[in-house]
Amino acid sequence: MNHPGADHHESPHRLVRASAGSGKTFQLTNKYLRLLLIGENPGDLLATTFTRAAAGEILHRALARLADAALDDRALEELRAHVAPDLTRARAAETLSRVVGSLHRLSIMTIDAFFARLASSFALEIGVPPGWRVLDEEEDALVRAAAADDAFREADHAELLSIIRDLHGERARTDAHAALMSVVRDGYTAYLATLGDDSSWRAIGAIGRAISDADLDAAIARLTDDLIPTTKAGSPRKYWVNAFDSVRDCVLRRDWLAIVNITLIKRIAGFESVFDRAEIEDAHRLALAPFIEHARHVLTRDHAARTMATRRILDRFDTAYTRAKRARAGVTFDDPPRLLLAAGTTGMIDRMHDRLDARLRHVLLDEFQDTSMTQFRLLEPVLDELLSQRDAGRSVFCVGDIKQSLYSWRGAEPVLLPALAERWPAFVTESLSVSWRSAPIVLGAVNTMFAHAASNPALVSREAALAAARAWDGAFDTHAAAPPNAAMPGSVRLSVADEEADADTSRRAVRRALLTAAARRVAEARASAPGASIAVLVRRNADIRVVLERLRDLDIDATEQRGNPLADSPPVAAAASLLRLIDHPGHTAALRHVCMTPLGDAARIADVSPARLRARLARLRRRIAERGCAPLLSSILARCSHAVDERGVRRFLQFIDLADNFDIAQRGGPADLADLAETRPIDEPGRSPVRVMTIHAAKGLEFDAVVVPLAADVWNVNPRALLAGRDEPLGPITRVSRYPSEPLRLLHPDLESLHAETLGRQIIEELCCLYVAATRARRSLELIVPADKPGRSGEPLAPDDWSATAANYVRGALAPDSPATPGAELWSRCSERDWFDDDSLAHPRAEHHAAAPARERMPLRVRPGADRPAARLARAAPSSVGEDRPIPAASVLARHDREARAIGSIVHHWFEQIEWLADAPDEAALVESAARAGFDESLARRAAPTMIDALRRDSIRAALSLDVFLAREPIAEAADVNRERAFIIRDPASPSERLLQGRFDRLVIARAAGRAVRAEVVDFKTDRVPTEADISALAEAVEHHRPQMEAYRRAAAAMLRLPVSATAATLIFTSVGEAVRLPYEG
Amino acid sequence: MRDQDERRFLGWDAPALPRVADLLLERAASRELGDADLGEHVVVLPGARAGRVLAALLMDRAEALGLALTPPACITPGEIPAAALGPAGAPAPAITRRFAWIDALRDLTDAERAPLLPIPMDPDDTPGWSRLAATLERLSDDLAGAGLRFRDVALDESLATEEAERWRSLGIVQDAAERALFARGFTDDALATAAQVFSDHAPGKQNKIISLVGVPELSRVERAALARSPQGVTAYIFAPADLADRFDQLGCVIPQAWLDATVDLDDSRVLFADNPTEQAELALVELARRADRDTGELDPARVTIGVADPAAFAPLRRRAALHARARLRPAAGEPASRTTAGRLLALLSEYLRDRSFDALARLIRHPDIEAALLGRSADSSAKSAQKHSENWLAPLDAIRRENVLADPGSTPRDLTNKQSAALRFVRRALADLLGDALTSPATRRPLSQWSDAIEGALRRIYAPRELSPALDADRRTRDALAAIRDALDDLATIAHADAPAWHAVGLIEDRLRRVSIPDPPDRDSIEALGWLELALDPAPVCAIVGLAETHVPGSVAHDPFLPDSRRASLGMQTCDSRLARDAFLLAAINASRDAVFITTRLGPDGDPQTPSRLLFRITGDALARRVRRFTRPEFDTPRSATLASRLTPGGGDLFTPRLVIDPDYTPPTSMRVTDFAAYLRSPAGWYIERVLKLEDQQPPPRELTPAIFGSVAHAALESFGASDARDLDDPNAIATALSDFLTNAADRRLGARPPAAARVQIELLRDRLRVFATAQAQRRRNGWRIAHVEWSPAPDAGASLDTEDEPMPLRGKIDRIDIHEPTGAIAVIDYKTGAARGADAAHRSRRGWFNLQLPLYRRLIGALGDPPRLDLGYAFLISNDIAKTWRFADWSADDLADADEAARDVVRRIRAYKPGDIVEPGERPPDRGALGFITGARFDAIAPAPPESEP
Ligand code: SF4
Repeated sequence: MNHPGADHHESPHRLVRASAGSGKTFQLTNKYLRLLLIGENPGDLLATTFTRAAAGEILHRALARLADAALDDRALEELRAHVAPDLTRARAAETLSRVVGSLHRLSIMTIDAFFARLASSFALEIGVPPGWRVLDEEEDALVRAAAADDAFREADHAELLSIIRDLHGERARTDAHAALMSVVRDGYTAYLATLGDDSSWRAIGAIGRAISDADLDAAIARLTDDLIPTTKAGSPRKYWVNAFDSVRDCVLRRDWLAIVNITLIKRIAGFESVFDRAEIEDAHRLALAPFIEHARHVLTRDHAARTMATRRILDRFDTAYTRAKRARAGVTFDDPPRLLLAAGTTGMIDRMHDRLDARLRHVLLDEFQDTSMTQFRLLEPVLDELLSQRDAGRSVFCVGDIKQSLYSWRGAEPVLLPALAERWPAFVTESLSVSWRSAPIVLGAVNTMFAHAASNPALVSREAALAAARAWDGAFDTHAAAPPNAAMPGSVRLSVADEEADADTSRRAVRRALLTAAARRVAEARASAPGASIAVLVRRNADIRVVLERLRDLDIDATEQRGNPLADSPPVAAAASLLRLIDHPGHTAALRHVCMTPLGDAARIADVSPARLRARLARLRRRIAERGCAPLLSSILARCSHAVDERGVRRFLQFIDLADNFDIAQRGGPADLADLAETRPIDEPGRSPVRVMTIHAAKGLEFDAVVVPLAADVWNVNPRALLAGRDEPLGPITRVSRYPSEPLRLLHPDLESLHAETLGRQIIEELCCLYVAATRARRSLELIVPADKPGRSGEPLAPDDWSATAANYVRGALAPDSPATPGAELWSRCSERDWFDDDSLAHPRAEHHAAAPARERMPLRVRPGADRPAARLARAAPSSVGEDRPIPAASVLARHDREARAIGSIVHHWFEQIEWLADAPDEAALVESAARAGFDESLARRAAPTMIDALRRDSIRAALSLDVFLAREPIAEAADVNRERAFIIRDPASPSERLLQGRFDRLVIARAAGRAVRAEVVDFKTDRVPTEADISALAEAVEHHRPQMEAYRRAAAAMLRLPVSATAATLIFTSVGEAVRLPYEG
Repeated sequence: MRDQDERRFLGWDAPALPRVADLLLERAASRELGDADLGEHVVVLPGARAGRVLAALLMDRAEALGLALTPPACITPGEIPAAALGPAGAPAPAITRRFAWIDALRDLTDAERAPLLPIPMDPDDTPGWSRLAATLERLSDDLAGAGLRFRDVALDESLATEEAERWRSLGIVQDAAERALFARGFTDDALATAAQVFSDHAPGKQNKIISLVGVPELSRVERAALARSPQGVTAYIFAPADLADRFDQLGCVIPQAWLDATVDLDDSRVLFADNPTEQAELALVELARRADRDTGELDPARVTIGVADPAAFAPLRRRAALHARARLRPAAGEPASRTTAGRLLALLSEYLRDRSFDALARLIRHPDIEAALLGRSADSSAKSAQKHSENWLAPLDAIRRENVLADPGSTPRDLTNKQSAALRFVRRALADLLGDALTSPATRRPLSQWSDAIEGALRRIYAPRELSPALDADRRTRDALAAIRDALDDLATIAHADAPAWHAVGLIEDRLRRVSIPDPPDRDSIEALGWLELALDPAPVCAIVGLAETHVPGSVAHDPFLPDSRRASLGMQTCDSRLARDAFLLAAINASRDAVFITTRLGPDGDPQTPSRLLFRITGDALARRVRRFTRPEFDTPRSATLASRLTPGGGDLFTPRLVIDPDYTPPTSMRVTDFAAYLRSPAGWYIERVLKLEDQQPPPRELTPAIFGSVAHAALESFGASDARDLDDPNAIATALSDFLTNAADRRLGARPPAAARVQIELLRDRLRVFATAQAQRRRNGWRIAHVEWSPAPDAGASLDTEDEPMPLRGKIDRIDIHEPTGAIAVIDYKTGAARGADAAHRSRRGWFNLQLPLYRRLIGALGDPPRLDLGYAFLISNDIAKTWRFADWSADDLADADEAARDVVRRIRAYKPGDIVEPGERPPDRGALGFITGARFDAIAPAPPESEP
């Protein structure tokens, strides 16, 4: 093995096979740092990994290590040892500063994020909707369900029915929509992988030969009893007689599936030679051949048709789903790579560099075993370009562990990793099998369990399993502990679950017993090492709750890795019920639930009459529509926090945050928020050191102690799945089929081989799961298997007859010869010191924090009602001053007459031009003036008569006449006209509340000795409200505008430091040619 | 620099605007006239809020000096061209403009389209086109700011061929869209402005005196416009004079000078929180620290919250309110689409698109629709409407669930009077409100027609409503309705383009997203400002949250049209120029007030995030230490304080009380035979479901639930058993009859247009009935005749269970009673659609009886006399094997006596309950939905069990 820090001069490209705990991320970070330290431009590096958390961790770790090296010598030494032997503190500091300066150029992200970035750069080219976003899980589930509705609506009814019938098979199911959803869940990935080309779906077609009815009848006639072998006593063998009878019956009923379920037929089809202790002779084969041949034909034909029908229904679904996503401008996480690929990547590289504004020169790929074929195809040209050159300025660094491939259900292709080295010989392959995580004892057990899968009794009996096991063994390197861990204490134990009290042997009971045992092991570990981190790793999501429940029975507080939904907290649950009730007033259960809790009073719905309740709920609906759910929930919490414990308050605050996001996203009504609270898992702040999670969720994590209940479920291909096969690892999918039942596999070699291929993959994945689970443990690994069930003979099965299950596999590896009696310990190894005998056990951060000194509790109080600076006051324009009265909502909707408005502004403009009244203007002059100001000429021409007419009116002439003005204001020595003059004042009507801001259309200031003595505000009203004939309408209009004119007067007075009584206001209604003066008054 | 232009440095040790106000007044004050006339002045500020603050400051200072103030026009940089050169034409309203672009896109020839959109779009996908057009409009505006048109970009020689072709296509679209607008008397504002600014003849005719205040960056067009202003331009620069060489002649930052400048934030001012929640609390603690020492109170006018990442605001606002009753006010307001009226449009659009029952259900829950419906129900003189209208939500929910009604137009015949009245009322009232055009099924019409139809609908919906501006919610509704009216005005002019109604509504909703409705000014709230408004804010204390790289400086790593390098070569804003700008803003904020800068390690989605580079503009060990503080929380400064909350967590289990018998409980005076199983499964379940009759509401089904499936099957079988067909003994004839009955039953239950999935299920049921027909034919031939279906004993028949106390009268309905004609034997049969199992297995486990239905049927049929033999059993509707159809129990007399005893025990226990007694959850309590919460079973699965729970 190479020292991690060693330099290779032959080729810059590395393919690192890194076993669990060998520091995959550490290696990648080293490589990344090395590139940065030799001065590579951060923008030219791309590092991808599988989760966003991991990507963020790589970035944070890289920064932290540089910062550490710049600050202290030990960290500098560490970096020298692993990254750059001649590193100095100064260079570390300089590099850190450069990296921090280009944080925005760093590309350390998930591979999905990288493709999403690429997709948004090529949105139009690849056909994602402009402005797209990634749908979240709940949204996607809704879109899918709705798409299934559409698919149903649009599909051919008869065909649909036959597909659904077929999906149900023998099971007594009544659903249709749910059945389609399950096809989608299990088959859509395969569908997408073969989009646009159904040849792989046709690849496994009908075989065999159809036999005519006449020939079948003839063959039946030939199937005489004299063919039946006899016993020594000379009587015909009974099983043969029955078999012959069954064959005749089936042929008569044309039941071709039943016929292949007849054991004799199975034997013949499987080329076996004995049935019921008698030789199967050629004559038998010949006599039965027509039926087998015909059954083969009919069944493989029907199967092929079902496969195609499945594709058709997926087609419908896909059409509806794609359409629905498009309508929402949404995509799912796997769309971008697929669409990019579909659009073709040739010639894309240069354009990619252009649009990403970066030239990728170093690519670092983490968790490569999780790469899907689509992702690989997209990476291919990039890798090709880099790997075709050998200069140090370009490199590919690819890390993965085929033993940790858990994501084939998401389309990951583990075979890609080994295929890389073949595809690009420029790769230098390294293998890391030194674990920096686990104790030697744990690693020893891992080696024993996983080095010789091919000789494990659980796998030897099936050909496909054996082949997979051999491949596994080929990829396994013996694990060893890193030097610092050589003396780390450890313990591994394989034990058998106790039986449940009532000796129930149903599968459910067995599972319960197993999970109960797991909880007990946790309790033991916790008693020995209270500070240790402990995880229970289960295979299925549904097991998590059972374990949590059992742990709570034992008074152990545990959290689920992905978190429970918020409604696990009773106050949140009550609030969720309140939300449901608000949406559904008939929801009596929710009502009762709320009223059982303090929320009933807090929300004022307890003990009220039905009518009041309805009114109250309607009011709450309005409140939510106006302000959202979050404020309602806040006020509820504020009102009843005394009845909620600390944890409840924390959970409720999370609920309020969820509600805020929900309000902003506008994703539905209150009941939809309740759904979220009850379904979306949300991590709880302050985690317990005991966690329960699926093995998948545990990937990338480590714990002091790990408990793994090993299920007795047989490793099989999921019968609902669609099977897809490739001819070559990197080639396209060439064969797709619905799951073939056993008789079909017997009849059709292609189905058999496709099934075997899939089973092999399945077995590898199961081994990966076991491997990942076992390698999460630092010190203690507890493996639990269920107790043996007696076989038919009453004795437990011999290992050679074991089926492939996780429990059997581990037993087969560690203790094949010990019977699994309840409670027994089958195998154990431990170091001299107890695994928990060490104070270096990791302490979770939560506890670390709890130990911190008590902090001061600071109150935040806002001083109410203090004098505020003007900038903090409300502002009003005079035109809005009068609007404090209620108005009919519909009046706001009154539409503008665009033309009238345009004409109005032209007239307004003309009035603005007037200083004092002079000669009446002619049309030409008016039009010219309007045109100069940018108004439309023809409109101006239409407006002109109004203006000319208005200027003939006495009242208006008087309002604009200097003589009239001076005559009215004897004290004035001069008058100046301000047009469109702006103002801002504290509104004297409410000086501490409001500013008045606006413009006077016309402000005439009378001056004496240069000082303003009087002022008159003139406002032009160009709208068409009052008609000439209607005097009262005019008076009404004046009243309508009075508050506004009063505001103008206050503004003028304040601005000019005059009493309001020294100001007047005049309204000029241009359309009716009337000026109305509101005289001075106090 | 032009001679008449001038730069003035304000320094940055104090807020900028008060100083600017003084300088401006100094310039304009006239002692003789007693006024300060800034009427000819235009002051450009980076944001609208700064303009409002400046005006207020000018007013206060003028007042103090005794001057009559004519305030200047305060504008933002985007308004410079119009202020300097006058309007460039009549800008097209938004929707008009949108359709000009959509048409231009759609009119491309295939050859022109291909470089831009290699994958053709569906011509009818108007929303898709609209989104694309929106993207291009933004791109066009962006480039126009740099004085460029699409076709100019295409001329760039460094472009790859296909990129150049793409830009040429874009150019064609842009030209066509602009021409279309011209033809209708409008201009494309940004393009027209650019053209005006750069044209040779249009003279600058606005003789305004322009000042720039703290404007850190200007586009090319804005600069050019300023250059044409005849008066001098004064730039007030928010920085000390010794940094003069970092600013250009207009006071904007010179990127090169700022890119590498350090901004030495004190370590105590840079805070790292783990997540947004912690960040919110941290920010509030920092504010609390800065409260007045004497009073312990915080003057809201003296502090500001800066919000760099909008997602950081909600948790902050919520926590301020919850823990400290402090209000935060977002100065930018909220989009009109989030108002009540905005939501109405969203729901309306969805309803018009889907016309589904679920969309209808959402729409009628909108408070404004609900109020309008209520108004109609009050108007309507019809008595039935009166009676049911007040509460139509519950009946409609029931229809949706029980009748799987997906299409609101169809009416199942099985509805109760109350239900059908509610459905009819809502349907009619909604049709009245929406009007004919919107009610009629989806058609495409010109947008101008939709404008009228939508206006009409809204007028009717809002007819009963009065808006009082004093009420916050009403004021928001008024503003939103005004925005809707403007959009309707806009829509009304578009007669040439047609679209479905839902899209027309969607267009208006889309407009509302871009209209901001301010929160009412509130003197006692703390203002929250966006990053760009912060620098000029005069408050002396400021806490800034959400300083993540994606928000400040807001780097984008990629772009489908203009990658950063191309933007740089085109003279547009780039990542570097934004960084330089923000470095300046940060330095100015830091120097001019008591500020803290906060970011989080994990983003709002819980994933690690990249902090803003601006927080790390220091060097050497200081930088390393800060990086370490961020990346290794254990090195971060420990927190010395937490926020004191007014929330006072108590304890106890008030939220998981045990279920107890209500005060008004009286034991039942009769029982249904199925009640016993309910009780045996779970006493709590029996109490809440059978006594209190609480109903849980699962989400609306997309297909028949097993219960509905069973109920339709029962209905068909009942009809069969009640008809003459029951005497048929030919499987085919029976199958035909059953099939007809099924069709009828399904129709009654599901209406004329059930969901397609339900139709498939009905066919599956038909399959099962066909299998059943064979079994039935056999049974008939064996002499069994259906005597009764859905049979109940007469109330006075005295069917009861004898107990040591009063006998307990029994009720129940038996699916079917057969008589064996040859012998007179009787068979009591219950139909089942679930998985087949034996009758005994359905009643007993090793632990005893859990169901007593069939044994108690014995007691029900007492009235039918004493048959020679009595069979008790099930008929399973299975999909294949007819041998499994009939499953009769073979209980002995002892077994049955034992069953009776079990039943008596149930009666005893039920009679013994007193108000206040705890009702135990039992073996299998309801553990789903709200019922699961009531029994506590749901918490058991996910949370600690309540204390002193059962042994
Ligand atoms: S008036 Fe309405 S909202 Fe107010 S308390 Fe009474 S029922 Fe509730």
